[in-house]
Amino acid sequence: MKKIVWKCALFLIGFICCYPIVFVCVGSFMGKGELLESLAPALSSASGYADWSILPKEPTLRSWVEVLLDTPGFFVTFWNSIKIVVGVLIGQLLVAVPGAWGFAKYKFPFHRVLFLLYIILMMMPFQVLMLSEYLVLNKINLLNTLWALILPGIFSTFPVFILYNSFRGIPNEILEAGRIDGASEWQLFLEIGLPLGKSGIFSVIVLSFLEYWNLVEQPMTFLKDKVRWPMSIFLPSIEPENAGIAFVASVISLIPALLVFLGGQEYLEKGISYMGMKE
Amino acid sequence: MKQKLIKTAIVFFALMVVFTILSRVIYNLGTPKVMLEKAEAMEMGPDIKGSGVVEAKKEIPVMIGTQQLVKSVNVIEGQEIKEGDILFELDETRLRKDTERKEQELKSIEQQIEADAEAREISRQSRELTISQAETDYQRTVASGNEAVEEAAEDLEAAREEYRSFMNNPESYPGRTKEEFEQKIQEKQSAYDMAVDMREENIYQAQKMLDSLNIPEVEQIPSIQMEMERQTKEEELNLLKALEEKKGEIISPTNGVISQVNVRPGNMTSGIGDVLIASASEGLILKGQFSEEQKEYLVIGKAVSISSEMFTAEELERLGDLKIAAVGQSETGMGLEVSVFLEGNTIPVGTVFNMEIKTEKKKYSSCVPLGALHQAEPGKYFVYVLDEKKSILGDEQVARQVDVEVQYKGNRYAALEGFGTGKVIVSSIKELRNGGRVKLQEEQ
Repeated sequence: MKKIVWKCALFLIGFICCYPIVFVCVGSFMGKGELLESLAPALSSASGYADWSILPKEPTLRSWVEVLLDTPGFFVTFWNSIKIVVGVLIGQLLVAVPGAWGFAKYKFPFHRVLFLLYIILMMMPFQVLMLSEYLVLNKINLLNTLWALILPGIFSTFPVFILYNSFRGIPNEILEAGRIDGASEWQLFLEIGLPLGKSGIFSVIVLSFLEYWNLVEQPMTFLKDKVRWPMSIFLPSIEPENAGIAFVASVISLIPALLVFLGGQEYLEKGISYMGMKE
Repeated sequence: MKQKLIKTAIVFFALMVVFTILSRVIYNLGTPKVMLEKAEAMEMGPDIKGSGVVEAKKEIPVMIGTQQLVKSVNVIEGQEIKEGDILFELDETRLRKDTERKEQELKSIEQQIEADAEAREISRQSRELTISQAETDYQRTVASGNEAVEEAAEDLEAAREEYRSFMNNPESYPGRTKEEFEQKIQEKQSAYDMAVDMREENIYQAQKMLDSLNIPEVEQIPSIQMEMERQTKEEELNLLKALEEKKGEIISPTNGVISQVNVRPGNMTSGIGDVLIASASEGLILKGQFSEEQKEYLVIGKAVSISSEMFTAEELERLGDLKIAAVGQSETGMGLEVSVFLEGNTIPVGTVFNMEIKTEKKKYSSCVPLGALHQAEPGKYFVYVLDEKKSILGDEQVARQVDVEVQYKGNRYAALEGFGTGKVIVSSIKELRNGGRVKLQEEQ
């Protein structure tokens, strides 16, 4: 009996956690009138509370058709988001992975100081770095381009930190054995470091994807033209009258994140565990 | 699980690519395509234009004068024809049968006329004989009457002589009295008077008979009718023979354009105006159609210019100074019809001309096509100009509304005040809206 109560309580908590997704999915199939009627207190100055049903009263695909066929602007933002995320991820793999390998496996002057700087930089919120990043990007004429989001992302310290902990877990004896067998440092990195640090790399991919897929402050700061907006700031710009579009766009934006999350779930757990590891 | 996720991701991105393309295509299809035109300075005035068709002043009817079966019709209305062209063909079998029937009818009526003539000859001879006899009777009556009167006169004279003789010598007539002689004279006188009366009466009767016979004989009406009928039949027969000689082909007597065809294959000819030919030889007239609003400019005597791709300026000059000859209500009841006489007969009937009534023009500095001018409310006009706007789809061309003052509005252009020589959107298949995206149509 106690077990059943626990299960019910957990199911209720799980449902409450998942309700926003249900809310968005149900809203995407509601008509304009039904949405306005349900959300009037939230969207306008109408009194009372928003009323929301579990299932739409009159299900319609109108909002889906409107987004998929009549809103080309949505796809512009979608592909902008893809460009930003893919650009950042490729950059991070090219920069952060060797960087973390270096920090983890090589001793060089100011090693600890440099890594401490990385940690400090990682701790700084965007609001602190915003002005300096803005000035730099302005100087190199990258403001109002996607590079203004991709470049800072590529050189983000967070993946270095995760990968550092991942690579640190590789025993040095394996590397020594490789060296004795005549392997070069590149070979050690490519053939021992990367395969053994795979879980760290994937966790970086998953975490970075989720971070840059939902980027809001940086595009609002660095991007002036709407044509370069990612999907994460397209959604808030939708007017209340087009709430249906916002729901559909939300569902679509959820799909890539969900796929990446499901695909990299196990690596994500490891990545989070690496974050908790001490140097 | 991972395989499924990868497949799902591939499908998702493939769908996104497809919908990206589709939404772009739909967006582009829904975007009004526009053409631009620069506002230009030009002379404008009432633009009185219309189109006219050259017609013949008179139409020549082609008729065969008899009802015949039409085998084929070789022309259609509006077709240009030359003299000698076959207009339509008659059924030869029917034509031959009609000819034979007409010959029979003519023969029959000729026989009737002949019989009638013979009868009338006999009658004439009989009448001449009667007259001759009546004349003889008259002469004989006169002669016998005269003879009887002479005899009575002689008897009277003898009685009178005898009376005178008695009076001179009564003794020679013993036993006789004067009264006897006087009575005898009276008797003879009565006999004489009777003879005279008888002669007069007989002569009168004979004369009357003679006179009645000498009255000229009136031509009998049935015979006249028959003769007329014979002539008609003869004419019809000649007509049929002429048609048969031509093998039933009805040819055009002149050059021109077929204006009306009243025959159809399988039907009978009407006998009157089977085909009407508008011939230039009878003179030409250009009839143009104009709207009622242009009525004030359509004045008799006003100069008219015409144009056509089919004729050079030199050819048109040969038509002389063209002026409005008549203005009337259009046959269709819609608008007005303007007539202009054309000199010469070089223009084919049915030719279409663009007509323009010459009016005074004024120069305006900023003129745009009427298609570019839009009316917001009575008296308030605006034009759309091309503008650029930054949107989520990048730099887009949009239509921007600009309010304008209209100085003059012609048939094709409108003169704007203070607009300058900027470019305006002149045409769009879809309706434009202020700030709405447009696509500049590539000039062909």
